[in-house]
Amino acid sequence: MRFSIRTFIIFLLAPLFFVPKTAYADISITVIGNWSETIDKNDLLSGAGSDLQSTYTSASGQVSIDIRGTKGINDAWRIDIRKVDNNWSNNLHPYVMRTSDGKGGRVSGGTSYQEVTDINTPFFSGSGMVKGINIQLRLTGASIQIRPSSYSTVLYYTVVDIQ
Amino acid sequence: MKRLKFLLLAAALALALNRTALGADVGTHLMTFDFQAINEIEVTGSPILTVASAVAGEQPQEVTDSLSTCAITTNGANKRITASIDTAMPAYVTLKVCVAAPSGSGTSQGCVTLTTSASNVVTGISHVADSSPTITYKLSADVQAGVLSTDARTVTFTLSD
Repeated sequence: MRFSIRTFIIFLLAPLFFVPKTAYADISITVIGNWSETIDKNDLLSGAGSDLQSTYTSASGQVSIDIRGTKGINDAWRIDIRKVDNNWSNNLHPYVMRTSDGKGGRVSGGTSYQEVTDINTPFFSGSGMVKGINIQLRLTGASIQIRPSSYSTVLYYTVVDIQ
Repeated sequence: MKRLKFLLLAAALALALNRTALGADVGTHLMTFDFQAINEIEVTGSPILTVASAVAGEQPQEVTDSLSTCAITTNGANKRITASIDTAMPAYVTLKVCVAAPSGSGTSQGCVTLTTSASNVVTGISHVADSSPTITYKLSADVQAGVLSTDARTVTFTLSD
């Protein structure tokens, strides 16, 4: 009898370990777009003797987000955001802001600039499938104190099904 | 019985973990900022220096002009400013330049005699933006120079490694 219970549980668990997660994932996020800027002498505030402008802002629709695979218009979700640095300076601070609602379900929050840190932080939320949510990016902290180099960081948008 | 409890616990844990995986997905994008080397220097001022007086029994008096300035911006480290003139000064005539170090960075080399070869006037400049360093020119001549007609020199300042 003990053997049959154990066998039953093993057979119950086995598929959970071997079936790919994507086959189960019902909500998904697609992020389209990157942002790159070249900062040179043309960015000095007033030529020789002046510092670099400290803030750079992308186009309002620099990045576009689609949310798919929800179970109806009332299936609520939340977008969390964090960054993972490649080569980065602690003087540089990236920000994100939602600039459109997209088309489809409902979206709320995230309409003012929010700094992106190494820790996952709620950005905005919504419900249902939404296509084309525009994101604007901003960088602050640029100055001549930052040595010449290419700095990059990856922004991670995690959609969390909260219902 | 203990083994059964363990298996049930493992089953619950596996279900819980898989449930978390069911409700999340991740998308990414890259932000890249290419900070290029910036080494800018700009000089203002067109001084006119005339040696025209002397104390009896001494060489002609040196004349000084401190109305010129240079503006410097660099995001590099350990830069220097050099100065040179386009053609040599007449015999027995000396033109010197003294450039103040930018605030908080670099060391002035004091008053340096200008020649057609580049000479260091400020060294050790790092990550600075300053539009106020003063440039002082000093012109002197010995009596052996004689009387010379008005002449002009172009002084070239270079910010480099």
